Amino acid sequence: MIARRAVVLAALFLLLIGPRPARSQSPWLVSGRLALVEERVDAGFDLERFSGVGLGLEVERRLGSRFTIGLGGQGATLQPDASGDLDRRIGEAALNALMSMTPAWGFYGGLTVRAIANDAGRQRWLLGRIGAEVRPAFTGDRFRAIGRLGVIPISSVDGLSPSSLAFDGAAGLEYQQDRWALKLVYGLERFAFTSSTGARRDEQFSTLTFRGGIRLR
Amino acid sequence: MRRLVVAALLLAALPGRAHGQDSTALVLQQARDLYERVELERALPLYRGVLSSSWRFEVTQAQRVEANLYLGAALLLLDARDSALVHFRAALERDAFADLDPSRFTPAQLEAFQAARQSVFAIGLRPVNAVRLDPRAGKMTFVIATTHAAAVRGEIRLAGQETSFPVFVGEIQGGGLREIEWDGVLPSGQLAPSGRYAFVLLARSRVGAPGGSTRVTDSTAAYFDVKQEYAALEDTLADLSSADLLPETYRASPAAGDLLKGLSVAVGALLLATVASDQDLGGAKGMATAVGALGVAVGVASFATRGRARPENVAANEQRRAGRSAANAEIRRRNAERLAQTVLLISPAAGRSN
Repeated sequence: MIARRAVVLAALFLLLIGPRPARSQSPWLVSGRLALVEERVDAGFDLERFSGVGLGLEVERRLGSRFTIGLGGQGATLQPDASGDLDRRIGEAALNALMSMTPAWGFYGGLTVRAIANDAGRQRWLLGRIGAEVRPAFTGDRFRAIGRLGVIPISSVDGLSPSSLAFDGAAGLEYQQDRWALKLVYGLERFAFTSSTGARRDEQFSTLTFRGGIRLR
Repeated sequence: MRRLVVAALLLAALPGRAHGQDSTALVLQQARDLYERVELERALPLYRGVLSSSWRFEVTQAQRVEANLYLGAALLLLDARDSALVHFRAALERDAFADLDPSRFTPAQLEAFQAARQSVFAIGLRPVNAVRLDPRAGKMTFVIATTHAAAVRGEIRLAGQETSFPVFVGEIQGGGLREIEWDGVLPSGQLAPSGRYAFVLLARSRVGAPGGSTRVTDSTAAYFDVKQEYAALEDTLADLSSADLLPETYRASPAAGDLLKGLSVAVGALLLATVASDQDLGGAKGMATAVGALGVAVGVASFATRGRARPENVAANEQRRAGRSAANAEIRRRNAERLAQTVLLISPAAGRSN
């Protein structure tokens, strides 16, 4: 309930400060993603660790001088470290938005639908996140450092109660030319769920994502 | 004599100075009518009256010249040649353009007038007419006259300056009229700049100083204004200031900031992998290290570039300078085209010297 209220307040805040009128529509940015994905789970038995490579696609569009929205999807197959565990397949789609307060920082938010499946079953995730992002430019404006930290007030996972602790963060670099952009980001998502049986379940996703994109004219 | 007195009394009765010239013109018209009817004895007193120092009405130069000419012509018809010559010379001294119409005067009168021209030396210069002079197609004209053969030099001086340049140097054979043309161009080939000018005419008689003539040189001048007229010119673009140009070298303080940013990326990644990660689950330190290493590398590389040239900015500045130069060249070309279409507005100015 508190989480939903926070989302509503954040949405109202974004609407109030609103985007500036667009001076000119920026081009679309279409990107491919290659990610190292690692999932760590502790359901009270022992640490389970899965890792693998994911591929994804993302489309971004800048609206005006401040607002950027993006739609992306990614799929990955994760192999367990322990030989007895089953492989996991992760697929997700995300709708993200970034509102720049200045060129160096802004707010981000997004909704992610994620499915995690193995041969035994399937779990559906719905995540809503909001946070702040800093993007200071290096001299020449080609490179930008990226740092973000936010909360995930919406974390609805099949069979689990909402996470009592959920946040995400990222650090990385972005390089932009006129037509194309490269990005390398280390991201972290951390959750603390309670299962239907009352057992604590900690989950953590780490990703090292390389993104290469081209701007459409 | 009685009629002259009556006429004088009638004229004297006319009120006001405004009628002065009209009165003189009236008497001259009356005298001319008498002359035409060969009533010379009646015309002479009228002409003499106009030329008399006691004439109380205003008399223009042209009226004096006319009076002298007709008086001379009348005296010649009355066989008073010497007196006629005196009046012809007086007319010529006042106005070198003075002449007798061959269709209205007898050969004897014309011959006497020519004799008078030889015995007196005077030059004349007509006032400058207002004209719009296109130096590419037209010329302005100075009309001069001498009473007899003379060496003449016509020159133009910019008022207030010592320099002058001749527009005519030569002989006028036998005297008479001469037109001197000027295209508005200085000897340097440039158009005459706006300002006040004087056309100065200097002449020396080629006849010498025969009996009766006391003057062998003469000079006169006419002033005129020149104004250049052309379409408004455009201003060239101002020099590029430092605010208009990109920095052409990497500076030290931003480079230090870049190093700090790179280190911050590394620190942030490591914090995520350690502090922010679940202590029980552990963090993906390998991923954080990869990003951190890249951040440090970019920061150090950026820091190392301090003081070095920034080719992209140098090129951009060159492009801006070239663009400005090209724009200025185009403006100068358009201005030159407009200046090439310059016309000179010539107008007579006050001032005349003899």
